[in-house]
Amino acid sequence: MKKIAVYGKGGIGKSTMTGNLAAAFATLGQKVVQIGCDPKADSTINLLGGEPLMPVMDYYRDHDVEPDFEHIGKAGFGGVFCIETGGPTPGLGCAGRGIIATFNLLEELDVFGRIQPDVVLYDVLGDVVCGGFAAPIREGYAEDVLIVTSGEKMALYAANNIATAVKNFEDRGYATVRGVIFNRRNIPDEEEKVRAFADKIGVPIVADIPRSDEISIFEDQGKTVVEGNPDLPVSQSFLGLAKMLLSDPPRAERESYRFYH
Amino acid sequence: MRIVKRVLSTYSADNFGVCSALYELGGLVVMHDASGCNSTYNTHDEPRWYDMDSLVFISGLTEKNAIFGNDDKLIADLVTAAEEFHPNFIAVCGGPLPHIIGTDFRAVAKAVERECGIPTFGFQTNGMDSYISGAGQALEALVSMMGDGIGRQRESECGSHIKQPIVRGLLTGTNQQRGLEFGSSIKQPIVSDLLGGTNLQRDPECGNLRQAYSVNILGATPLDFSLNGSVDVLRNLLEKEGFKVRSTWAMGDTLENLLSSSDADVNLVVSAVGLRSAVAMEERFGIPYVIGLPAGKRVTAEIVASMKQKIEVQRGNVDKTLQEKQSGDDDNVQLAEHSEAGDKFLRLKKSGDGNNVQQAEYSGDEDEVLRAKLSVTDGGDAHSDFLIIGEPVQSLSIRETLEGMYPGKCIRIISPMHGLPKEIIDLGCEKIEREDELREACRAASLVIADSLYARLLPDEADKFVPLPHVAYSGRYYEDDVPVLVGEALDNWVIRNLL
Repeated sequence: MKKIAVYGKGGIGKSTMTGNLAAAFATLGQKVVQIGCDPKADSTINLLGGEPLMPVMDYYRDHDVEPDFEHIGKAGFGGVFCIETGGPTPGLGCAGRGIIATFNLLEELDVFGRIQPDVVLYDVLGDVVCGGFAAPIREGYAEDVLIVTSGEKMALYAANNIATAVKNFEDRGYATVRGVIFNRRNIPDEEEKVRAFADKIGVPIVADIPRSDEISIFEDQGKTVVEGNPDLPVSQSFLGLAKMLLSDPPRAERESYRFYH
Repeated sequence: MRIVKRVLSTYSADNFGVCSALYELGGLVVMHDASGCNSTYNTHDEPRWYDMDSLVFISGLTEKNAIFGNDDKLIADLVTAAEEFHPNFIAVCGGPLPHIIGTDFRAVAKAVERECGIPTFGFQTNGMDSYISGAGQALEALVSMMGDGIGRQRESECGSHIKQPIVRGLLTGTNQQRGLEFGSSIKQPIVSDLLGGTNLQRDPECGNLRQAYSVNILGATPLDFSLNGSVDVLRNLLEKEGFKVRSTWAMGDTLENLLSSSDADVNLVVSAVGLRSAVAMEERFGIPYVIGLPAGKRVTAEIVASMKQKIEVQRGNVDKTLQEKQSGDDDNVQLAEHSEAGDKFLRLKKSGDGNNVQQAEYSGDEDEVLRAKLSVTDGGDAHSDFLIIGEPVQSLSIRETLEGMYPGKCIRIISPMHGLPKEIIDLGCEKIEREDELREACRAASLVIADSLYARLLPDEADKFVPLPHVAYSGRYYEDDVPVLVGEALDNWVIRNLL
């Protein structure tokens, strides 16, 4: 089972990247689970025809009990099983705790045991701001981290923070950074900037996603671009990334991908 | 507000369970929490606290360290304490505060173990689940310390990473004496005769040599068994029934002995606390297990037969047993009868109305079993002749005994502990935690057997409550009144209190 966490600056396109990657894995015949780890709970919406999903924490708030397996998520495009952690009203409570509580529930309900996915994708809000947001990279959860960034200064700044946070946990057996997803914004010298960042932290750029209006067009229809038109170059980029990740040997066998020593 | 306890108490928390299960084993147990009132439940409420030393510490979590998630400080403190005390292992877990900030105790344990080379465990406790979860995790962790060899070979392997002899046992005398003599005057539990010697023992009645079985007792903590001698009675009873008691997890025994006990023939899970370690040992060593507390003559006979049957199946002697049944050998007739009855001693059943679930189980129809199970848990106001509230494994033995004495009566078990394993619930307990539902269940019962504190639910009907104090529920309030129920003592207790 491949378990991948996607991190990046808020608004950089993590959910778009993750949803399309999930759709690409599914198109390649993989059984996928996508878990949105963001109180906004909009990670999986484009896999579900634009219909929002009842987040785990919302269910908990409304029903006073945690959801059972039947209510924890929903299958979307290509059979991707979608789960949203959700979280508190902005400004209240503890969103990180919501993520941890959801993960505990996934274990309790043996969600992975029941679904037997080939790939699990964690789409994580913004920065690794507290323990809860590091939960997806803990031992037993994601093994690989993909950092989404453009060439914009603040996106690279956040990406660097994320890489540093992941490095801080290297002695705990947590996930390691597998690579950078370059989500183009078409700013000047963008490729050089992103490449320099990737070199600095010692990871490859694993996907180069062109700026594409089609992404927005299909999102308006509640679809990923991979679902909408898999033949488009941008869709092919996601399919290429999915194929590459599938060809990775298991983590234990690929010491060369341990970038931090 | 539905989960608020207004007149009732709560069960000992999961972190207390960790402390209780590991108390006698020479480990360093550290509670990551703010210093202060948690000592009441982790130490001063521990019935052995005044008579036996143990390395139980609180980390003294501060607001600053919570905000900044200073796990490094916790790790450094653990390493420092380990260097000073040279414990046999280290266990770290927390209360509600680390739970909220998401402290990753497994990762902390990993870092500590790497630094000081002592086996270290991190438990994701939260101070809100019941002791069954915490103590269960703790005993399960010990299984991971066990070697892979057999018998003495394994014992020596396990002993190699224990830095000092483990000499925990019951101490006597004053605190001062204990302080001076700790480590030297502690009675060594008698284990040498269990490890070596013959696999045969002489039958005292006929003088012939017959095969002996060995058993690990899993899930013995003072939270369920008090310090009233129940565990000693249990050991003696099993020895009388032809079992060498290989180890007792984890009262009156040593870590060394526990870690070398994977050559036992069978595990006996005497409380819900013991289940996780039993499952782990079955997976690792193929040791079968039986869930049940030998309490009550009838129940004890069933458990003993069930354990023997498990062992014979394990040894591949089932066919022989069945053949001997035909030849009329009494012992083996009993074994064969139990081999037909399924692989667990305690079968799910509802008394008084046709044993629906049991019948459904025998029918092999899963849907029917589910329907029957649902009919058992039909709400807080279902009538029962007897309602037992308490530790599930003990309660099941009480129910079996009552069934023998009162055929046809409806007997209900409620185990209100949070975090109860599903396999235990499936044995026929209802998991009701809300106070209003518990009150309705008591109101609908003719007689309630429960810890004395439950009588607060219905002050006008106090007469129908039969007190059965439970240390994990009322602490030391009624400690002196906790009865020994092992063996025939339960029959006598029923006669004294219910007839």
